[in-house]
Amino acid sequence: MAIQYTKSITSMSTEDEGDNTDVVKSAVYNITATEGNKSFTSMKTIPLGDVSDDYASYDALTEDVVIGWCEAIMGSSEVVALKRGLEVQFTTPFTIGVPQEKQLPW
Amino acid sequence: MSTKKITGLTELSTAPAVGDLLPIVDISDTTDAASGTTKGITVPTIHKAAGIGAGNTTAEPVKVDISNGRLGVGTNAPTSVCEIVGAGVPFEVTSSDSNGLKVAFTDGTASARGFIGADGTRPFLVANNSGSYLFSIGPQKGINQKAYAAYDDDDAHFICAIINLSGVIRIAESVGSINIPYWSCGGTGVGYKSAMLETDSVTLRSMGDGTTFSVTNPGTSGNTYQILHNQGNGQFSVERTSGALAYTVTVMSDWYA
Repeated sequence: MAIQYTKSITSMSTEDEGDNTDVVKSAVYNITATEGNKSFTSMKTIPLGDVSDDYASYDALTEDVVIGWCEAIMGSSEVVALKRGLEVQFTTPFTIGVPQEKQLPW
Repeated sequence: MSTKKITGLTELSTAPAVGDLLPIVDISDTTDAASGTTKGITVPTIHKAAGIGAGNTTAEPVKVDISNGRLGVGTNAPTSVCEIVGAGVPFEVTSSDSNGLKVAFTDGTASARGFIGADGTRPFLVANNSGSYLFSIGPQKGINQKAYAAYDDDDAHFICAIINLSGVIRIAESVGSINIPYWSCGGTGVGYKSAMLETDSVTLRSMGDGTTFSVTNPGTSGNTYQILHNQGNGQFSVERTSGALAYTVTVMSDWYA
C-alpha cells in the first residue's frame, strides 16, 4: 500500500500592518503520512514575513493558499525531507522505547 | 365534545399533568378497525418514543428532571444542570469546522472568558476570551510545541524561529535523546541573543551571532548534530553531521507563541 500524504494548516497568527488587518505572520503547517491504519505527522510553525502584494483579507484565505505560502518559504527540498522523515517511521523506530500510559481496562 | 373540532376546544395553557391524556391511533391494535384503535396517551409516554424518560436505559437515555431543572444523559438522577454518565468516553464534542477551539466558557457576562479545544495534530488547546492561544499540548508529548519534525538526512533544516522564547529543544533517536534548554531575547519580532546548553558536555553556549555548537547523542552509535540559532529571523536549525539514525526535533517553549 502506498503512503498517502496530506497537508493541513491548524492555526495562524495575525497582526495588523498599516491599512491591512489580520496579516498572517505565521502558520502551523502539518504534513501527515498515512499507510493503512498507521500515520505520522510533522508540524512546523512557519514564519511568513511581511505583507506581500498578494495580500488577501483573512476571511478570504483558503487552506491551500496558506499551504502554498508555507511551502514557498520552506522550499521544495524541505517538503521532500519531511516526507522522507515520515516515511522512515513506518519501518524504523525513531525514538527510544518507553512505557506509555494508557486508559485502564476496567 | 364530539360535536366540536379540536380547534374549537378550550386550550390547556399550562403544562399538562403527568396523567393528562392525548388521543392517539394505535395502528398496531386493530381491535376497533383495520386502521387501528383510538386510545389515550400521556405526555411522558410520548416523550419515551424520543428517548426521554428514565435516563438510565438504552431506550430512554435522557432524563429531564423538571423538579430541579436538570438534564441527565445516562443517569436517572442528574446532580447538576447537565450531567452525562456513560462508559468509556461519555462526552464528545465535534465541530464541523476545522477550528481548534471547540468549547467556550462563559459566566454572567455575554462574552466568552476562555476556550479549550483540539486541532488536527494538537490534542489540547487553551485560548483566552478572544480566541488567542495561550497553551497547547502536542503533537508529541510536551507543551507549547512550535515544531515537531522527523528527518533522515544530513541536510541542515530550519526547524522554526525562536524569538523571545525559552524552553527545551528535544532531539530524539532510537538510541536516546538530547534535551537542550534555551533562553532567548530580542526586540519585537526580532531575534537577538540566546543562551543554549550544550547538554552532552554541560556547557552554556552564547548564540545568536551565527555561531554553532555540536552535540552528540550518548546512546550507542548516536548521531552528532550541529545546532544553529541566528539573530534577526531567529532561525533555529539542526543538521546531522555524523551518524545514520533517523531523528526527530521538538521545540517546546514555556509560554505559547
